[in-house]
Amino acid sequence: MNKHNQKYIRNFSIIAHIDHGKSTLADRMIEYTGALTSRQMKEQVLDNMDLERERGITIKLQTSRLIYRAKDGHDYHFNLIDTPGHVDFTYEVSRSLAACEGALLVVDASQGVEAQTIANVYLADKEGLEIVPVLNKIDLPAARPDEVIHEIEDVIGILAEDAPRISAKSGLNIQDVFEAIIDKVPPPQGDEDAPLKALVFDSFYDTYRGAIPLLRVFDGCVKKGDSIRMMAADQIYEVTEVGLFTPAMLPVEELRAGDVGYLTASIKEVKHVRVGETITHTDRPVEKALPGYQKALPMVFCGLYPAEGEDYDNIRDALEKLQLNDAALTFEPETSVALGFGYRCGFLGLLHLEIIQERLEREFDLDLIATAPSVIYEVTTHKGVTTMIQNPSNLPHPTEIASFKEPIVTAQIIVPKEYVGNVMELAQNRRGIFLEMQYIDERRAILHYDLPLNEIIYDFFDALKSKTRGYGSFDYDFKEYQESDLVKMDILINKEVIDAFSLIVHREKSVARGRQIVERLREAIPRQQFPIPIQAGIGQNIIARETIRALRKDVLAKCYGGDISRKKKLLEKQKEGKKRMRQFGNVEVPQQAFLSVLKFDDE
Amino acid sequence: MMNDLGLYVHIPFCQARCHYCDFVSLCPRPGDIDNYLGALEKELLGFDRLFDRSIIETIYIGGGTPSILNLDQTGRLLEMLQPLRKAVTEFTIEANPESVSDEKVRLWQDHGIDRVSLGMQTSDPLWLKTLGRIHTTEKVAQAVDIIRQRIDCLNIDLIYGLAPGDKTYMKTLEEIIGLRPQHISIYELEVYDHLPLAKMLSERVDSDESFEQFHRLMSRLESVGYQRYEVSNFSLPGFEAKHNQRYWKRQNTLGVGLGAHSLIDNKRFNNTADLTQYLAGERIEHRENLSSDEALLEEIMLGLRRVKGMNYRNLIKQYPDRSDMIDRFVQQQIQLDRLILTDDCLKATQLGLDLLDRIVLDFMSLQ
Repeated sequence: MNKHNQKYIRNFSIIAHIDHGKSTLADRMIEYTGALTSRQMKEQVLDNMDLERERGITIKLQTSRLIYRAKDGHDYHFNLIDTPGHVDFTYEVSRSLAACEGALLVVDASQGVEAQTIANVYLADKEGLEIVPVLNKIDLPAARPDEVIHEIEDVIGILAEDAPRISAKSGLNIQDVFEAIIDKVPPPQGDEDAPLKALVFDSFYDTYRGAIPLLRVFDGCVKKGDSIRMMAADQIYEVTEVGLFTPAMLPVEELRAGDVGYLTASIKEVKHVRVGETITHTDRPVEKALPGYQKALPMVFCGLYPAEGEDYDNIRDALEKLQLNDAALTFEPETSVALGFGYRCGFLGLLHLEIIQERLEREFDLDLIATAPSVIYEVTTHKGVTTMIQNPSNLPHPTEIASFKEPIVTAQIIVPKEYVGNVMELAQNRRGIFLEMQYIDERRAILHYDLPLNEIIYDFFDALKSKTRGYGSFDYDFKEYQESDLVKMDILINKEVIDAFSLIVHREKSVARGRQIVERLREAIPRQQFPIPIQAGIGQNIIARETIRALRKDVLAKCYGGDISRKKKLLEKQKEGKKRMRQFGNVEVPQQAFLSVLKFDDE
Repeated sequence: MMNDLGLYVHIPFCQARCHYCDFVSLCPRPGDIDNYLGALEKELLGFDRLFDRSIIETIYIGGGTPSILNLDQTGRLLEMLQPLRKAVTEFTIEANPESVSDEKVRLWQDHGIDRVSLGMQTSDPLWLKTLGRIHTTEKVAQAVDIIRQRIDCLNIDLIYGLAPGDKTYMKTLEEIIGLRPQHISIYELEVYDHLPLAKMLSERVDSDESFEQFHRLMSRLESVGYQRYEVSNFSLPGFEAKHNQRYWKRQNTLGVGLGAHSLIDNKRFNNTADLTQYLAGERIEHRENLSSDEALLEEIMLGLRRVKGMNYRNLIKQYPDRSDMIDRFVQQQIQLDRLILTDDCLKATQLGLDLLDRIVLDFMSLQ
């Protein structure tokens, strides 16, 4: 076989809902083609981060070349390009898909189509990919392949009748998957003689070799010693090595049109090889970069503070290290009256936030306090100045604001039909705009809603789960910034505004949120000598109020027969508690009170 | 030079342990009490030189239950103390109603005891049981009768804050008032987690109710002539407890016996609470020289407990390099209506007495 005959190359991804068996299928395909012996093969090789394996999701991409001898007698090169399984990483998914000609759509034969399946199919469709459905877990007693095929055809609108029916776990019918790919996914059709045009669909950081981009060569070829240019970052490097993933890194002579592999060029920073970047030669560049490059835009923000003050520098070091591998993570120093020194971090979404937080705690052994997540607002003044605002204290005065916009996402929610009412109620409460509803089968419906991102970053998923007894699934996609009736709400303790508590809310939600906050504060602030009003206000209007009653008695009755050590100890302990309090005028507010309002997991 | 001294003698034995008690007390095994008295005698001998240069003004035999000692043991104890009571102006013994007898009281009287402190706590039979007290209400009246034949000056203890919604404490107070003791102490029940009582009480009294109960008790006491002279102590005029005042004034007090605490010239030390160790003569468990700051904190913490308060000028004179801080503290507390300063007298207001722990905490924060 001519190694570079593109006819025998297939580049594909696997897309699936969490738990539908994407990684298991990848493992089986690698095993089947003998790319790794089973001894070498860790369970689910493609998910190589502990955290990923634990959560059963893919965060960082892995990729592998598989050589398969087909029924037609030819050896085919399959490049399996893994995709992250979550919408937070939509952009990454889209770039991975852009590197392929086709995608395997794995659907659990008992669970059927889920929200995430659909979101991923939309993405694959947008990239013009050939979608090859695969029914997995066919050996489960609950499998209902015929119904699920109908679902796929009805909801997704692709033919699924001759979809391979497999068990990725046992390896049943894996060969059918390879054959289906050969049949359906078109081979790459690049021009080897054209100027180099390669897409970066992922990168990782190696301590010794720097940032290493994973790329798909569309046209031309690239080899060691070439001088290359990153078109978006406008950086020039000299290639020191090119290679393939087997999935281990295997250096080769060159990568040609249609190939998928990596290159090293002593690239110092991951941000020079961001996902979506186009690589070309300096001496013979392409005229136009590949379309679709976006700078990763953080959508969700939260403050990360050390639980112990001395961790401040360690957090920065850890964030810097994570950033080497994750261009989407942003952070800047921030000071909070309540929490001291910390960092305001930007994430692609809530899962991204959770993953980063967990990695910081697990891999760097940090003890963190995370503030409630917030989104970024777009504010335009009458003078026509538009700013993106995430900290309420940076808001212009209300009279100067001409437009106040918040991010809106389009969400797909799939639920058993008996819960449709509950979900509609939930979406309504979250200011959702109903778009449409379809029935997937006799049991389940898919609801489409526009929802403010602000309404889902907090606890939407938990609420959905509890309103659907765990059956609801949910996915979303950023849509646009929309004008909204947003207000800044202040929290006043003893008539004094406490900056750290100010927040931006929708006017309709302000009373409920205000009540919730003042109630929590009333519980968390210890009583003091005088009554303390706790208020939530918008401008001059007080919309919620609680009062902490005055403390009338605080004295230990007894001094034991000359033994005052016990009393001293008690007072010492209280003094330690007092140290951790913040003084606002006459009022002492304990750290716990701030946490009860600011902290993320305290619903 | 002769210094004045208060002497505290601890008798750590009880017939039964009260469920709220967190003092050093135990049920005696045969021979324990006699052995203990022997060890006590030795300990007293060791303080010969201190006694030689001191005028002992008060003696207080506390417990435990000092009245648990039988006549022989009582006689032996009091004989030991005989040489020390030349200048004593107040000699108190604690007693529980069930262990009082005429012979015992006579022995007390013969040896100079002129004040008895009787643990009554509550007159409610159910509460007596819950608290693990073994006497009955009738016993209290009988005991008072017996004591009063010979020793007139009496203190009776009451415990309030037993449970939310409880009303029995006022009935108890009425019964105590009916006995007309010269001195009444009212203590709030403090429940420590490790004590049996913690498991028995499902709900605790909050600070609002504690406040209500205390003030109801205080109004009633004042209406019948008792004056509050310390956070928890009331007396008819002229009958303030001299020994206890020594603690609040930080005057020298020597404690002897198991787990007893002493303060001598700004040195605090205390005995072991382990009976075996104590009997073996390994007495002192802890000894510390108070720094000037520690002593000052104690002055504030203890001195302000007295309704009369403390002498401000003396305080400043004693701690000259802390005078700025003391002044800031005093001004701050005056602002908060917790302290008043008239002439040289610094004292807590009514509000201040209720919030004394806050005052001390504020002081500690400034320190």
